Amino acid sequence: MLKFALRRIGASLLILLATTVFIYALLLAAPGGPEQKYANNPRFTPQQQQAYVKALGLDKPVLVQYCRWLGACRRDADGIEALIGPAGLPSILPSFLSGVTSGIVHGDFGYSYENGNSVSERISGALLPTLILAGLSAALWLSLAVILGVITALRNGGLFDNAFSVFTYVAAAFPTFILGFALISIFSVGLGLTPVSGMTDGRLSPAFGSDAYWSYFSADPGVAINDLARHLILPVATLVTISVAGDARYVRQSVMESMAMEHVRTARSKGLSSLRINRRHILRTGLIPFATNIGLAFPFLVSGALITETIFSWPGVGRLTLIAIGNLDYPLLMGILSISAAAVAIGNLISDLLYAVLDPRVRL
Amino acid sequence: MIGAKVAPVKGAPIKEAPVVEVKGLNISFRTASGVIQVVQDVSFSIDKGECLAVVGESGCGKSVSALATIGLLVKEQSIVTGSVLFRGEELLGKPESYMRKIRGGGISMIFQEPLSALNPVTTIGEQIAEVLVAHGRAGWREANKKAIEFLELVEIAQAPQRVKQYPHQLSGGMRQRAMIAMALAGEPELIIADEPTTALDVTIQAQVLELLRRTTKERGTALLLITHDLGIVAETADRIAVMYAGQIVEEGPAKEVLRAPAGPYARDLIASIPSYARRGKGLTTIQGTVPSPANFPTGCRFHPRCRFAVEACAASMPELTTHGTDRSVRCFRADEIAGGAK
Amino acid sequence: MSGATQTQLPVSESPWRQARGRFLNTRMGPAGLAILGCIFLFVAVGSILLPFDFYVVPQPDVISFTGRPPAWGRPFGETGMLQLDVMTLVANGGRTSLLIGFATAIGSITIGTIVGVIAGFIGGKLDSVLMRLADVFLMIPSLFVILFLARIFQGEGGGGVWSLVIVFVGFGWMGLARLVRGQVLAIREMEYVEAARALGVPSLRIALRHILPNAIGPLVVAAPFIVGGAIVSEAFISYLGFGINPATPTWGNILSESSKFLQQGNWWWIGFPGLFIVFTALSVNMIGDTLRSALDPRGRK
Repeated sequence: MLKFALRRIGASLLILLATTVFIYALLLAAPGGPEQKYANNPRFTPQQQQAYVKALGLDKPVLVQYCRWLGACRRDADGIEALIGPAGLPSILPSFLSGVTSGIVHGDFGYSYENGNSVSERISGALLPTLILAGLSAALWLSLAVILGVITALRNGGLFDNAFSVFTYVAAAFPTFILGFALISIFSVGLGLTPVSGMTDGRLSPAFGSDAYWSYFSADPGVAINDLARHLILPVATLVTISVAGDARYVRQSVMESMAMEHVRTARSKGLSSLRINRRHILRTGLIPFATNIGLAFPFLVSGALITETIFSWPGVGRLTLIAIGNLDYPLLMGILSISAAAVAIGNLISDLLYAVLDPRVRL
Repeated sequence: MIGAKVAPVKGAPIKEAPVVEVKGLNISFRTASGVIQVVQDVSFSIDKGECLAVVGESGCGKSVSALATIGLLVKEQSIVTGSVLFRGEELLGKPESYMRKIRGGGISMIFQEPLSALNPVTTIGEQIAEVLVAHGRAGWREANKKAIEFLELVEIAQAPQRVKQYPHQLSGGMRQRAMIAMALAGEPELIIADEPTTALDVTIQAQVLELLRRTTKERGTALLLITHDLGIVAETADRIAVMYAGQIVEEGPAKEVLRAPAGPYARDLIASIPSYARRGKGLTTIQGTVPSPANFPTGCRFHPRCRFAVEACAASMPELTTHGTDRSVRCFRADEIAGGAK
Repeated sequence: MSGATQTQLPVSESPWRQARGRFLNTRMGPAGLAILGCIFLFVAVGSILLPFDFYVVPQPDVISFTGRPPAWGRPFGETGMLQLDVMTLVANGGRTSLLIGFATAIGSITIGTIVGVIAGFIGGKLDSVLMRLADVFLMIPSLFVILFLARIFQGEGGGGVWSLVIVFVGFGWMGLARLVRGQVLAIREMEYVEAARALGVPSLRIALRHILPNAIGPLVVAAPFIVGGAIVSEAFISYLGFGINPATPTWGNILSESSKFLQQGNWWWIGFPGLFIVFTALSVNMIGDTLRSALDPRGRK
């Protein structure tokens, strides 16, 4: 088991490294760097532009740039020397050993082109709203998917099953942003029940995540949580509706397949109670595929729901990604893409390990 | 129709009632193209400790009859009429809650392919123990201990370790032994074994079959053995019922039927067993194929393939009639054939 | 010379004919086709009868900032601000949106098939490079990549139709190439191909005559989903402002404008293009799902 896990972790790291190289190359090939921002301004001289490029290290060979971004090379040295930190050990090692603090392996994601803020601070600031929205939605839709999928499979062909399969079919075809608009039109604009967008009510509370917000929060948590909950209703409803459809169909399908398996007939021939047949013999085998898929929802918790966050102006990672793309803010984009690729890798890893734990047939 | 048939009479003057007595069993399936009858007027009975082998080509309705006996046919798709008396009680039409007590506790079943018939993600021990718990024979703690005893009973070595293993960790023969242990666990009075050795290697078929027969005999359990393999019947079964196209065509003591089959179908079936004694003479086959239930021939269902068929065979269906003291056969010309007709 | 009776052999239907029969025998397939047909008809007739000209300013009889709801003579209502006729916008926008959908499907399938057949048939280096590229792409959320490519190609304010199609095709061919490659690899090992090779049939002919026609099933199934996906993606990307230049009406551009007015309660402005997108997506899903089960008799329930 341990050997299997280690081998999988090693493979994931390799793919992850390849992915960052790929993204880096993609972004370098794309037009528009920080020096281009004022390129049309006559007061921004070519000399200034040159100096700017040099200061950012964009004049160095691509490999060196990537190496510096990764943290395997020091920024203050060139050539082979850059690979060795001031403490005499390889730069790639943790800061307390190598003495190098730049590069993502040392937790330094660089600085946003847009406003010079630290990339890691911008991302971590957006992470909490994303976790609240995506985490709550994922918890809801995964449990709903299991409950609805199991009920419809065990009572297949019934009225509820048929009604639900029509619902899942339509919901699966519904584009997320149109569902979001429809919900806003009906519940916010039409009925006035929920806020249109945002995470908090701007008239009452400071911006979410700021120090002022937390002091406002601790002053009266009840009011703050109530406000947050009201703002969560529509985005959560959007995400859950869209996502539960496909997952419930998946659960239903695999439970139905499990019901048709021969060992279920054996269980019936043994005179077991239907509760035990359902729980132990149908669901035990029927839910393994879905349980292992839960790991695949993990990237979603980090990279966020771009579409939903955008429509509802939710200050999460998804919306931050959109801002980064809009501004061609490469350091920020690079940071977000690397983190979400890491999340995909971790999610896949969780899936594989979960599968190995849940299904005794998987040989390690 | 049922009245016209003479039930086989046993030699012993004072006889216990049979464990199971199936009378006039008819089974039809609802399909997209209408209701199709697959089993017609099947009757048999099995005494305590006795083994009845139901033999026939695949698709003749033998497995379906077995599933109907234990009430495992899907109710929405099938229509079952006739009578299944178990310990003198009628099982057909009994509610699911009653059948649940019978299954595993009164009648248990062994399936053909142990790898798919066993739950892949539950340990062998638990699958045996849950039978005991379901029928109130033991609590979980005790049932788990008993599971080891049952594995030892079916001669699985290192039983205390094996109970903790999953089906895929066992060999094919061991899996089927575990299935037998599971079937024995509820102390049933009847075990239905549906092609129990077909999926096994030839070398272990005999072992498993011998084990099944011995354990059932020791406990006085009646055994309904369903097979298409006549070769394994001689050693195992007390009586044979030969099925063709949803009907029983011949029934009698195993040795007698095998030695001197009365009807043409049983005759051809037995002749088609490859044997060393007939080496060099080429293999005997039955011409044609088994008809599908949607279009059984009129008259005797075997007549299109029968070497002895005459016009009467196509015109009307022969009844199952007594033949000799203890046998019955469904053929107009049984006596002539036995007399040496060609 | 008479009396010779000819026994008629039963006419065996080709697999495609059988699949068509299975497709038409369902409720969902023909219904999806009917919905899509109605949308096509509406868009075709509508854009001819109600041409859209960016420079023609409507002269409404009543000035209303939020536009006016549907009524006799303007069944889909009027937009806010310029008070354009929503039906005109939806019909003309549909022309662009459907064009993008179908162009993307045709482009992705053409490139995906060519690359997939080459990779599967020739294999070797090209094959492994292609597959590693696809692996890496799977690590990044596809929406991020499409948005980024759109941002680069379309510029800040949106761009032309064809450059967006290029972005979609540039991203869409990879999955199809994988699909075709897998199919080709499986078919290449089949006996009838071996037989053709043994008979000395040239490789190109084997590829075109024996392998491609049999690899086409999954492509036929994928096509409707690509059309739907491209239409929805266009709408979302245009809503974000990276899509088609706002001067050209598309369903996405209408949504982009109207979503700003969402809080004014003029639901018809956003509702009608939204409904058209939903019904298009629904109908292509229905067609695609039915095609899948029609072309794979074993997978049918």
